Amino acid sequence: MQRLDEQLRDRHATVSTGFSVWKRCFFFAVVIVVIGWALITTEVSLNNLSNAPHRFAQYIIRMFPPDLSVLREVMVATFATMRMSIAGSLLGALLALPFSFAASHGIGVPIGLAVATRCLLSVVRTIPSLVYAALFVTVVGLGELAGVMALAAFSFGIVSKLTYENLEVLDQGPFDAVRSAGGNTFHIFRYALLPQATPHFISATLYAWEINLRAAFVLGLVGAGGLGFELMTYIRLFEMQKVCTVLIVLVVFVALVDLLSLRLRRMVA
Amino acid sequence: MNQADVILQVNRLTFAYDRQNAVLSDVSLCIPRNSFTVIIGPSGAGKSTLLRCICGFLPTPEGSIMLQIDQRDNLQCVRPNDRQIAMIFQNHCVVMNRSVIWNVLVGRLSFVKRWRTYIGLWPASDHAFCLKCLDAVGITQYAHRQGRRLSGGQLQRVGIARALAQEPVLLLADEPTANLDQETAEGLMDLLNGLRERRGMTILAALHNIDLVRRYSTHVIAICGGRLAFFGTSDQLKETHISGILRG
Repeated sequence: MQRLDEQLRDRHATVSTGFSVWKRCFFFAVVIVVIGWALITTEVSLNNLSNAPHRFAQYIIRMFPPDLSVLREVMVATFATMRMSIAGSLLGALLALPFSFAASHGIGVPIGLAVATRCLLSVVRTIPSLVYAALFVTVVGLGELAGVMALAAFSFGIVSKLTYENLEVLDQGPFDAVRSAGGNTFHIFRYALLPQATPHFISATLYAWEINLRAAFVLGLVGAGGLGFELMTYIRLFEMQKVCTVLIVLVVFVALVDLLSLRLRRMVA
Repeated sequence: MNQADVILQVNRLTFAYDRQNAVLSDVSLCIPRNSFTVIIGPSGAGKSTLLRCICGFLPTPEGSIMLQIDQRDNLQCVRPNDRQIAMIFQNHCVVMNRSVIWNVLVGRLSFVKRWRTYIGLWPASDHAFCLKCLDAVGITQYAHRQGRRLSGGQLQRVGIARALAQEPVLLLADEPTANLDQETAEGLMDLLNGLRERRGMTILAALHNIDLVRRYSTHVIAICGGRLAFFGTSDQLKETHISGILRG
Protein backbone atom coordinates (compact mmCIF):
# COMPACT_ATOMS: atom_id res chain seq x y z
CA MET A 1 0.00 0.00 0.00
CA GLN A 2 2.78 2.33 1.00
CA ARG A 3 4.60 1.41 -2.18
CA LEU A 4 1.51 2.28 -4.23
CA ASP A 5 1.27 5.67 -2.50
CA GLU A 6 4.90 6.34 -3.31
CA GLN A 7 4.35 5.40 -6.92
CA LEU A 8 1.34 7.73 -7.16
CA ARG A 9 3.31 10.57 -5.53
CA ASP A 10 6.18 10.03 -7.98
CA ARG A 11 3.76 10.00 -10.89
CA HIS A 12 2.10 13.19 -9.67
CA ALA A 13 5.51 14.81 -9.32
CA THR A 14 6.40 13.80 -12.88
CA VAL A 15 3.16 15.31 -14.21
CA SER A 16 3.77 18.53 -12.25
CA THR A 17 7.31 18.92 -13.55
CA GLY A 18 6.06 18.10 -17.06
CA PHE A 19 3.69 21.12 -17.03
CA SER A 20 5.24 23.72 -14.73
CA VAL A 21 3.49 26.60 -12.89
CA TRP A 22 4.99 29.19 -15.27
CA LYS A 23 3.69 27.33 -18.27
CA ARG A 24 0.21 27.14 -16.71
CA CYS A 25 0.22 30.90 -15.99
CA PHE A 26 1.32 31.65 -19.53
CA PHE A 27 -1.40 29.34 -20.93
CA PHE A 28 -4.17 31.03 -18.87
CA ALA A 29 -2.87 34.50 -19.79
CA VAL A 30 -3.07 33.63 -23.48
CA VAL A 31 -6.63 32.27 -23.06
CA ILE A 32 -7.74 35.46 -21.22
CA VAL A 33 -6.18 37.74 -23.85
CA VAL A 34 -7.88 35.85 -26.69
CA ILE A 35 -11.30 35.94 -24.97
CA GLY A 36 -10.90 39.66 -24.16
CA TRP A 37 -9.89 40.47 -27.74
CA ALA A 38 -12.93 38.55 -29.09
CA LEU A 39 -15.37 40.31 -26.71
CA ILE A 40 -14.02 43.82 -27.24
CA THR A 41 -13.78 43.66 -31.03
CA THR A 42 -17.36 42.31 -31.28
CA GLU A 43 -18.67 45.16 -29.07
CA VAL A 44 -19.89 42.81 -26.34
CA SER A 45 -20.20 44.99 -23.27
CA LEU A 46 -22.11 44.71 -19.99
CA ASN A 47 -23.92 47.94 -20.88
CA ASN A 48 -25.24 46.49 -24.12
CA LEU A 49 -26.02 43.11 -22.55
CA SER A 50 -27.92 44.63 -19.61
CA ASN A 51 -30.60 45.99 -21.97
CA ALA A 52 -30.92 42.75 -23.91
CA PRO A 53 -33.30 40.81 -21.57
CA HIS A 54 -35.69 43.75 -21.40
CA ARG A 55 -35.75 44.19 -25.20
CA PHE A 56 -36.08 40.45 -25.73
CA ALA A 57 -39.01 40.28 -23.30
CA GLN A 58 -40.76 43.14 -25.14
CA TYR A 59 -40.20 41.33 -28.39
CA ILE A 60 -41.71 38.11 -27.02
CA ILE A 61 -44.70 39.93 -25.50
CA ARG A 62 -45.48 41.54 -28.88
CA MET A 63 -45.54 38.05 -30.46
CA PHE A 64 -48.48 36.84 -28.37
CA PRO A 65 -51.15 35.86 -29.01
CA PRO A 66 -50.15 34.34 -32.38
CA ASP A 67 -52.17 35.59 -35.35
CA LEU A 68 -53.83 32.44 -36.67
CA SER A 69 -55.54 34.28 -39.52
CA VAL A 70 -52.39 33.69 -41.59
CA LEU A 71 -52.30 29.97 -40.79
CA ARG A 72 -53.51 28.98 -44.26
CA GLU A 73 -50.85 31.07 -46.01
CA VAL A 74 -48.22 29.76 -43.61
CA MET A 75 -49.26 26.16 -44.27
CA VAL A 76 -49.07 26.73 -48.04
CA ALA A 77 -45.56 28.17 -47.58
CA THR A 78 -44.66 25.25 -45.29
CA PHE A 79 -45.59 22.74 -47.97
CA ALA A 80 -43.54 24.77 -50.47
CA THR A 81 -40.56 24.42 -48.09
CA MET A 82 -41.33 20.71 -47.78
CA ARG A 83 -41.46 20.33 -51.58
CA MET A 84 -38.15 22.14 -51.92
CA SER A 85 -36.43 20.01 -49.30
CA ILE A 86 -37.74 16.71 -50.73
CA ALA A 87 -36.96 17.58 -54.36
CA GLY A 88 -33.53 18.99 -53.46
CA SER A 89 -32.59 16.00 -51.29
CA LEU A 90 -33.70 13.42 -53.87
CA LEU A 91 -31.99 15.16 -56.80
CA GLY A 92 -28.77 15.55 -54.83
CA ALA A 93 -28.88 11.95 -53.59
CA LEU A 94 -29.43 10.55 -57.09
CA LEU A 95 -26.49 12.54 -58.36
CA ALA A 96 -24.42 11.44 -55.34
CA LEU A 97 -24.89 7.71 -55.98
CA PRO A 98 -22.40 7.27 -58.88
CA PHE A 99 -19.98 9.77 -57.31
CA SER A 100 -20.00 7.85 -54.00
CA PHE A 101 -18.87 4.69 -55.78
CA ALA A 102 -16.28 6.63 -57.79
CA ALA A 103 -14.81 8.15 -54.62
CA SER A 104 -14.48 4.88 -52.66
CA HIS A 105 -11.18 3.16 -52.05
CA GLY A 106 -11.13 -0.62 -51.74
CA ILE A 107 -13.97 -1.55 -54.10
CA GLY A 108 -11.87 -1.70 -57.24
CA VAL A 109 -12.07 1.98 -58.27
CA PRO A 110 -8.79 3.32 -59.78
CA ILE A 111 -7.01 5.41 -57.15
CA GLY A 112 -6.69 8.43 -59.48
CA LEU A 113 -10.44 8.53 -60.12
CA ALA A 114 -11.18 8.19 -56.39
CA VAL A 115 -8.83 11.05 -55.46
CA ALA A 116 -10.16 13.32 -58.24
CA THR A 117 -13.77 12.63 -57.22
CA ARG A 118 -12.97 13.36 -53.57
CA CYS A 119 -11.38 16.69 -54.52
CA LEU A 120 -14.49 17.64 -56.49
CA LEU A 121 -16.76 16.64 -53.60
CA SER A 122 -14.66 18.66 -51.14
CA VAL A 123 -15.10 21.76 -53.30
CA VAL A 124 -18.87 21.14 -53.51
CA ARG A 125 -19.13 20.75 -49.72
CA THR A 126 -17.08 23.85 -48.98
CA ILE A 127 -19.72 26.20 -50.42
CA PRO A 128 -22.66 26.80 -47.99
CA SER A 129 -26.21 26.24 -49.25
CA LEU A 130 -27.00 29.94 -48.71
CA VAL A 131 -24.27 30.87 -51.21
CA TYR A 132 -25.62 28.27 -53.66
CA ALA A 133 -29.08 29.80 -53.28
CA ALA A 134 -27.76 33.30 -53.97
CA LEU A 135 -25.95 31.98 -57.06
CA PHE A 136 -28.97 30.08 -58.38
CA VAL A 137 -31.32 33.03 -57.72
CA THR A 138 -29.17 35.07 -60.10
CA VAL A 139 -29.17 32.21 -62.65
CA VAL A 140 -32.83 31.04 -62.60
CA GLY A 141 -34.47 33.97 -60.81
CA LEU A 142 -36.44 34.20 -57.53
CA GLY A 143 -38.52 31.20 -56.49
CA GLU A 144 -38.49 27.57 -55.46
CA LEU A 145 -36.37 26.32 -58.37
CA ALA A 146 -33.34 28.23 -57.07
CA GLY A 147 -33.95 26.72 -53.62
CA VAL A 148 -34.29 23.19 -55.01
CA MET A 149 -31.03 23.55 -56.96
CA ALA A 150 -29.19 24.93 -53.92
CA LEU A 151 -30.40 22.09 -51.71
CA ALA A 152 -29.55 19.52 -54.41
CA ALA A 153 -25.97 20.84 -54.52
CA PHE A 154 -25.71 20.65 -50.73
CA SER A 155 -27.25 17.15 -50.57
CA PHE A 156 -24.96 15.96 -53.34
CA GLY A 157 -21.91 16.89 -51.26
CA ILE A 158 -23.05 15.48 -47.94
CA VAL A 159 -24.70 12.26 -49.21
CA SER A 160 -21.64 11.46 -51.35
CA LYS A 161 -19.29 11.88 -48.40
CA LEU A 162 -21.37 9.86 -45.93
CA THR A 163 -21.95 7.08 -48.48
CA TYR A 164 -18.37 6.69 -49.69
CA GLU A 165 -17.08 6.63 -46.11
CA ASN A 166 -19.49 3.80 -45.33
CA LEU A 167 -18.64 1.94 -48.54
CA GLU A 168 -15.04 1.70 -47.39
CA VAL A 169 -15.93 -0.17 -44.20
CA LEU A 170 -18.34 -2.66 -45.79
CA ASP A 171 -17.91 -6.32 -44.87
CA GLN A 172 -15.69 -7.79 -47.61
CA GLY A 173 -16.91 -11.32 -46.84
CA PRO A 174 -19.95 -11.28 -49.17
CA PHE A 175 -17.62 -10.12 -51.98
CA ASP A 176 -15.62 -13.35 -51.53
CA ALA A 177 -18.81 -15.41 -51.31
CA VAL A 178 -20.06 -14.10 -54.68
CA ARG A 179 -16.61 -14.62 -56.24
CA SER A 180 -16.47 -18.16 -54.88
CA ALA A 181 -19.86 -18.91 -56.46
CA GLY A 182 -18.45 -17.95 -59.86
CA GLY A 183 -19.93 -14.43 -59.94
CA ASN A 184 -18.57 -11.72 -62.24
CA THR A 185 -17.90 -8.05 -61.40
CA PHE A 186 -21.52 -7.03 -61.90
CA HIS A 187 -22.67 -9.91 -59.66
CA ILE A 188 -20.31 -8.64 -56.95
CA PHE A 189 -21.85 -5.17 -57.31
CA ARG A 190 -25.41 -6.54 -57.37
CA TYR A 191 -25.18 -9.21 -54.65
CA ALA A 192 -22.43 -7.99 -52.28
CA LEU A 193 -21.94 -4.24 -52.59
CA LEU A 194 -25.43 -2.88 -53.34
CA PRO A 195 -27.37 -4.72 -50.59
CA GLN A 196 -24.85 -3.60 -47.98
CA ALA A 197 -24.54 -0.04 -49.29
CA THR A 198 -28.27 0.68 -49.75
CA PRO A 199 -29.13 1.19 -46.04
CA HIS A 200 -26.18 3.61 -45.64
CA PHE A 201 -27.25 5.53 -48.75
CA ILE A 202 -30.89 5.79 -47.64
CA SER A 203 -29.80 6.82 -44.15
CA ALA A 204 -27.50 9.52 -45.56
CA THR A 205 -30.30 10.80 -47.81
CA LEU A 206 -32.74 11.02 -44.88
CA TYR A 207 -30.12 12.83 -42.79
CA ALA A 208 -29.57 15.30 -45.65
CA TRP A 209 -33.34 15.78 -45.86
CA GLU A 210 -33.49 16.70 -42.16
CA ILE A 211 -30.77 19.32 -42.65
CA ASN A 212 -32.31 20.49 -45.92
CA LEU A 213 -35.64 21.19 -44.28
CA ARG A 214 -34.00 23.75 -41.98
CA ALA A 215 -31.84 25.01 -44.83
CA ALA A 216 -34.92 25.38 -47.09
CA PHE A 217 -36.42 27.63 -44.43
CA VAL A 218 -33.31 29.81 -44.34
CA LEU A 219 -33.11 29.91 -48.16
CA GLY A 220 -36.44 31.70 -48.20
CA LEU A 221 -34.66 34.66 -46.60
CA VAL A 222 -32.62 35.18 -49.78
CA GLY A 223 -35.65 34.92 -52.04
CA ALA A 224 -35.79 31.19 -52.75
CA GLY A 225 -39.46 30.98 -51.70
CA GLY A 226 -41.17 28.98 -48.96
CA LEU A 227 -41.69 29.60 -45.24
CA GLY A 228 -38.51 31.67 -44.82
CA PHE A 229 -39.77 34.14 -47.41
CA GLU A 230 -43.05 34.56 -45.47
CA LEU A 231 -41.13 35.03 -42.20
CA MET A 232 -38.87 37.69 -43.69
CA THR A 233 -41.89 39.57 -45.03
CA TYR A 234 -43.62 39.61 -41.61
CA ILE A 235 -40.43 40.67 -39.81
CA ARG A 236 -39.93 43.59 -42.21
CA LEU A 237 -43.53 44.68 -41.59
CA PHE A 238 -43.06 44.25 -37.77
CA GLU A 239 -46.07 41.89 -37.67
CA MET A 240 -44.74 39.94 -34.70
CA GLN A 241 -47.93 37.93 -34.04
CA LYS A 242 -47.71 36.55 -37.56
CA VAL A 243 -44.01 35.82 -36.99
CA CYS A 244 -45.04 33.81 -33.93
CA THR A 245 -47.46 31.71 -36.03
CA VAL A 246 -44.69 30.99 -38.53
CA LEU A 247 -42.28 29.95 -35.77
CA ILE A 248 -44.82 27.64 -34.09
CA VAL A 249 -45.61 25.93 -37.40
CA LEU A 250 -41.88 25.61 -38.12
CA VAL A 251 -41.04 24.03 -34.75
CA VAL A 252 -43.91 21.50 -34.97
CA PHE A 253 -43.11 20.72 -38.57
CA VAL A 254 -39.35 20.20 -38.02
CA ALA A 255 -40.03 18.00 -34.95
CA LEU A 256 -42.43 15.81 -36.97
CA VAL A 257 -39.95 15.45 -39.83
CA ASP A 258 -37.11 14.58 -37.41
CA LEU A 259 -39.30 11.89 -35.86
CA LEU A 260 -40.30 10.48 -39.24
CA SER A 261 -36.71 10.50 -40.48
CA LEU A 262 -35.50 8.76 -37.31
CA ARG A 263 -38.14 6.03 -37.70
CA LEU A 264 -37.27 5.52 -41.38
CA ARG A 265 -33.54 5.39 -40.65
CA ARG A 266 -34.11 2.77 -37.96
CA MET A 267 -36.20 0.75 -40.42
CA VAL A 268 -33.49 0.66 -43.09
CA ALA A 269 -30.54 0.20 -40.69
CA MET B 1 -2.23 -43.10 -54.49
CA ASN B 2 -4.09 -44.02 -57.71
CA GLN B 3 -4.54 -41.06 -60.07
CA ALA B 4 -8.31 -41.64 -60.21
CA ASP B 5 -8.53 -41.33 -56.42
CA VAL B 6 -7.07 -37.82 -56.47
CA ILE B 7 -9.47 -34.90 -56.74
CA LEU B 8 -6.98 -32.07 -56.31
CA GLN B 9 -3.29 -31.94 -57.01
CA VAL B 10 -1.08 -29.02 -55.99
CA ASN B 11 2.36 -28.93 -57.63
CA ARG B 12 5.24 -26.84 -56.33
CA LEU B 13 3.01 -23.95 -55.29
CA THR B 14 4.81 -20.82 -54.14
CA PHE B 15 2.96 -17.67 -53.19
CA ALA B 16 4.03 -14.30 -51.75
CA TYR B 17 1.98 -11.19 -50.95
CA ASP B 18 5.15 -9.14 -51.44
CA ARG B 19 8.42 -9.98 -53.18
CA GLN B 20 10.47 -10.62 -50.06
CA ASN B 21 8.36 -12.94 -47.91
CA ALA B 22 6.92 -16.12 -49.41
CA VAL B 23 3.83 -17.28 -47.49
CA LEU B 24 3.83 -20.65 -49.28
CA SER B 25 7.07 -22.23 -50.52
CA ASP B 26 7.15 -25.15 -52.93
CA VAL B 27 4.03 -26.86 -51.58
CA SER B 28 3.03 -30.10 -53.34
CA LEU B 29 0.18 -32.33 -52.21
CA CYS B 30 -2.71 -34.51 -53.39
CA ILE B 31 -6.18 -34.49 -51.88
CA PRO B 32 -7.88 -37.91 -52.00
CA ARG B 33 -11.42 -38.05 -53.42
CA ASN B 34 -14.23 -38.22 -50.82
CA SER B 35 -11.78 -37.50 -48.00
CA PHE B 36 -12.10 -35.12 -45.05
CA THR B 37 -8.67 -33.57 -45.23
CA VAL B 38 -7.71 -31.10 -42.55
CA ILE B 39 -4.93 -28.52 -42.75
CA ILE B 40 -3.28 -27.75 -39.43
CA GLY B 41 -0.46 -25.43 -38.47
CA PRO B 42 0.38 -22.47 -36.26
CA SER B 43 -1.18 -19.07 -36.91
CA GLY B 44 0.36 -17.36 -39.93
CA ALA B 45 1.64 -20.67 -41.33
CA GLY B 46 -0.19 -20.18 -44.64
CA LYS B 47 -3.31 -22.36 -44.18
CA SER B 48 -5.82 -19.73 -45.27
CA THR B 49 -3.52 -18.58 -48.08
CA LEU B 50 -3.37 -22.15 -49.42
CA LEU B 51 -7.18 -22.37 -49.37
CA ARG B 52 -7.53 -18.98 -51.07
CA CYS B 53 -5.05 -20.04 -53.77
CA ILE B 54 -7.02 -23.26 -54.39
CA CYS B 55 -10.30 -21.31 -54.52
CA GLY B 56 -8.82 -18.96 -57.10
CA PHE B 57 -9.00 -15.79 -54.96
CA LEU B 58 -5.23 -15.38 -55.19
CA PRO B 59 -3.18 -15.63 -58.39
CA THR B 60 -0.63 -18.46 -58.49
CA PRO B 61 2.17 -17.48 -60.87
CA GLU B 62 4.45 -20.24 -59.51
CA GLY B 63 3.24 -23.83 -59.38
CA SER B 64 -0.05 -25.34 -60.48
CA ILE B 65 -3.35 -26.43 -58.98
CA MET B 66 -5.16 -29.21 -60.87
CA LEU B 67 -8.70 -30.47 -60.30
CA GLN B 68 -10.21 -33.75 -61.46
CA ILE B 69 -13.98 -33.27 -61.41
CA ASP B 70 -14.87 -36.82 -62.40
CA GLN B 71 -12.83 -40.00 -62.00
CA ARG B 72 -13.01 -40.55 -65.78
CA ASP B 73 -11.71 -37.03 -66.54
CA ASN B 74 -8.12 -35.83 -66.64
CA LEU B 75 -6.72 -33.36 -64.14
CA GLN B 76 -7.37 -29.82 -65.32
CA CYS B 77 -5.99 -26.51 -64.17
CA VAL B 78 -8.34 -24.77 -61.74
CA ARG B 79 -9.93 -21.68 -63.26
CA PRO B 80 -10.27 -18.58 -61.04
CA ASN B 81 -13.53 -18.74 -59.06
CA ASP B 82 -14.45 -22.18 -60.40
CA ARG B 83 -17.95 -23.08 -59.17
CA GLN B 84 -16.80 -26.72 -58.69
CA ILE B 85 -14.85 -25.51 -55.67
CA ALA B 86 -17.02 -23.91 -52.97
CA MET B 87 -15.77 -22.15 -49.88
CA ILE B 88 -17.11 -21.92 -46.35
CA PHE B 89 -15.67 -18.89 -44.58
CA GLN B 90 -14.65 -18.30 -41.00
CA ASN B 91 -17.00 -15.32 -40.70
CA HIS B 92 -19.78 -16.94 -42.81
CA CYS B 93 -19.84 -13.97 -45.30
CA VAL B 94 -23.62 -13.65 -45.21
CA VAL B 95 -25.29 -10.37 -46.26
CA MET B 96 -26.98 -9.61 -42.96
CA ASN B 97 -29.81 -7.39 -44.22
CA ARG B 98 -31.04 -9.96 -46.72
CA SER B 99 -33.00 -13.17 -46.17
CA VAL B 100 -31.39 -16.56 -45.77
CA ILE B 101 -32.83 -17.84 -49.07
CA TRP B 102 -31.51 -14.71 -50.86
CA ASN B 103 -28.02 -15.50 -49.56
CA VAL B 104 -28.24 -19.17 -50.55
CA LEU B 105 -29.41 -18.25 -54.07
CA VAL B 106 -26.02 -16.54 -54.56
CA GLY B 107 -24.63 -20.07 -54.79
CA ARG B 108 -26.71 -20.61 -57.96
CA LEU B 109 -25.15 -17.69 -59.88
CA SER B 110 -23.30 -20.01 -62.28
CA PHE B 111 -26.39 -22.08 -63.08
CA VAL B 112 -28.88 -19.38 -64.05
CA LYS B 113 -28.96 -17.17 -67.16
CA ARG B 114 -27.02 -13.99 -66.56
CA TRP B 115 -29.85 -11.57 -67.35
CA ARG B 116 -31.97 -13.32 -64.72
CA THR B 117 -29.24 -13.01 -62.08
CA TYR B 118 -28.71 -9.34 -62.97
CA ILE B 119 -32.32 -8.46 -62.17
CA GLY B 120 -32.72 -11.04 -59.41
CA LEU B 121 -35.38 -13.07 -61.24
CA TRP B 122 -34.55 -16.56 -60.01
CA PRO B 123 -36.31 -19.61 -61.53
CA ALA B 124 -38.64 -21.54 -59.22
CA SER B 125 -36.49 -24.65 -59.67
CA ASP B 126 -33.47 -22.84 -58.18
CA HIS B 127 -35.59 -21.62 -55.28
CA ALA B 128 -36.65 -25.20 -54.65
CA PHE B 129 -33.05 -26.40 -54.89
CA CYS B 130 -31.91 -23.80 -52.34
CA LEU B 131 -34.68 -24.87 -49.97
CA LYS B 132 -33.34 -28.43 -50.26
CA CYS B 133 -29.86 -27.14 -49.39
CA LEU B 134 -31.30 -25.39 -46.34
CA ASP B 135 -33.06 -28.63 -45.44
CA ALA B 136 -29.72 -30.47 -45.67
CA VAL B 137 -28.25 -28.12 -43.06
CA GLY B 138 -31.41 -28.11 -40.95
CA ILE B 139 -32.51 -24.46 -41.16
CA THR B 140 -35.42 -24.50 -43.65
CA GLN B 141 -37.60 -22.75 -41.07
CA TYR B 142 -35.35 -19.66 -41.25
CA ALA B 143 -35.47 -19.37 -45.07
CA HIS B 144 -37.18 -15.97 -45.02
CA ARG B 145 -35.51 -14.60 -41.92
CA GLN B 146 -32.87 -11.87 -42.22
CA GLY B 147 -29.27 -12.85 -41.56
CA ARG B 148 -28.98 -10.42 -38.63
CA ARG B 149 -31.64 -12.38 -36.75
CA LEU B 150 -29.64 -15.62 -36.73
CA SER B 151 -27.05 -16.95 -34.28
CA GLY B 152 -23.39 -17.57 -35.21
CA GLY B 153 -23.98 -21.30 -35.69
CA GLN B 154 -27.06 -20.71 -37.83
CA LEU B 155 -25.16 -18.17 -39.98
CA GLN B 156 -22.41 -20.71 -40.52
CA ARG B 157 -25.09 -23.16 -41.71
CA VAL B 158 -26.33 -20.54 -44.18
CA GLY B 159 -22.75 -20.36 -45.50
CA ILE B 160 -22.70 -24.14 -45.89
CA ALA B 161 -26.10 -24.15 -47.64
CA ARG B 162 -24.82 -21.48 -50.05
CA ALA B 163 -21.76 -23.63 -50.76
CA LEU B 164 -23.99 -26.70 -51.32
CA ALA B 165 -26.12 -24.68 -53.76
CA GLN B 166 -23.02 -24.47 -55.95
CA GLU B 167 -23.08 -28.29 -56.30
CA PRO B 168 -19.31 -28.41 -55.86
CA VAL B 169 -17.08 -31.47 -55.95
CA LEU B 170 -14.65 -29.93 -53.48
CA LEU B 171 -15.72 -28.02 -50.39
CA LEU B 172 -13.11 -25.78 -48.78
CA ALA B 173 -13.63 -24.56 -45.22
CA ASP B 174 -11.47 -21.88 -43.61
CA GLU B 175 -11.70 -22.24 -39.82
CA PRO B 176 -15.47 -22.90 -39.96
CA THR B 177 -15.69 -23.49 -36.19
CA ALA B 178 -13.46 -20.60 -35.08
CA ASN B 179 -16.22 -18.40 -33.66
CA LEU B 180 -18.44 -21.18 -32.30
CA ASP B 181 -18.77 -22.84 -28.90
CA GLN B 182 -17.71 -26.48 -28.54
CA GLU B 183 -21.20 -27.95 -28.87
CA THR B 184 -22.11 -25.91 -31.96
CA ALA B 185 -18.69 -26.63 -33.47
CA GLU B 186 -19.21 -30.38 -33.06
CA GLY B 187 -22.69 -30.11 -34.60
CA LEU B 188 -21.20 -28.31 -37.57
CA MET B 189 -18.45 -30.88 -38.01
CA ASP B 190 -21.04 -33.69 -37.83
CA LEU B 191 -22.99 -31.89 -40.53
CA LEU B 192 -19.95 -31.52 -42.81
CA ASN B 193 -18.94 -35.13 -42.29
CA GLY B 194 -22.49 -36.29 -42.98
CA LEU B 195 -22.56 -34.29 -46.22
CA ARG B 196 -19.27 -35.89 -47.26
CA GLU B 197 -20.60 -39.38 -46.60
CA ARG B 198 -24.04 -38.90 -48.16
CA ARG B 199 -23.09 -36.74 -51.15
CA GLY B 200 -19.63 -38.12 -51.87
CA MET B 201 -18.10 -34.66 -51.55
CA THR B 202 -14.48 -33.98 -50.66
CA ILE B 203 -13.79 -31.58 -47.82
CA LEU B 204 -10.58 -29.66 -47.28
CA ALA B 205 -10.70 -27.63 -44.07
CA ALA B 206 -8.27 -25.52 -42.06
CA LEU B 207 -8.77 -26.17 -38.34
CA HIS B 208 -7.14 -25.18 -35.08
CA ASN B 209 -8.94 -27.56 -32.73
CA ILE B 210 -6.82 -30.73 -32.60
CA ASP B 211 -9.60 -32.65 -30.87
CA LEU B 212 -11.91 -32.01 -33.85
CA VAL B 213 -9.08 -32.89 -36.24
CA ARG B 214 -8.62 -36.29 -34.57
CA ARG B 215 -12.34 -37.05 -34.51
CA TYR B 216 -13.37 -36.04 -38.01
CA SER B 217 -10.42 -36.00 -40.41
CA THR B 218 -9.45 -38.86 -42.69
CA HIS B 219 -6.26 -37.14 -43.84
CA VAL B 220 -4.10 -34.39 -42.34
CA ILE B 221 -1.85 -31.81 -43.93
CA ALA B 222 0.45 -29.80 -41.69
CA ILE B 223 1.99 -26.53 -42.84
CA CYS B 224 4.78 -24.76 -40.99
CA GLY B 225 6.34 -21.52 -42.19
CA GLY B 226 4.73 -21.94 -45.59
CA ARG B 227 6.16 -25.43 -46.16
CA LEU B 228 4.53 -28.83 -46.07
CA ALA B 229 5.52 -30.43 -42.75
CA PHE B 230 3.28 -33.49 -42.71
CA PHE B 231 0.89 -35.25 -45.08
CA GLY B 232 -0.77 -38.55 -44.23
CA THR B 233 -3.84 -40.20 -42.82
CA SER B 234 -5.09 -39.08 -39.44
CA ASP B 235 -3.97 -42.43 -37.97
CA GLN B 236 -0.41 -41.62 -38.96
CA LEU B 237 -0.52 -38.31 -37.10
CA LYS B 238 1.22 -38.81 -33.74
CA GLU B 239 1.33 -36.56 -30.70
CA THR B 240 5.00 -35.77 -31.38
CA HIS B 241 4.05 -34.53 -34.85
CA ILE B 242 1.36 -32.27 -33.43
CA SER B 243 3.52 -30.69 -30.73
CA GLY B 244 6.33 -30.12 -33.26
CA ILE B 245 3.93 -28.61 -35.82
CA LEU B 246 2.16 -26.30 -33.39
CA ARG B 247 5.48 -25.05 -32.03
CA GLY B 248 6.26 -24.06 -35.62
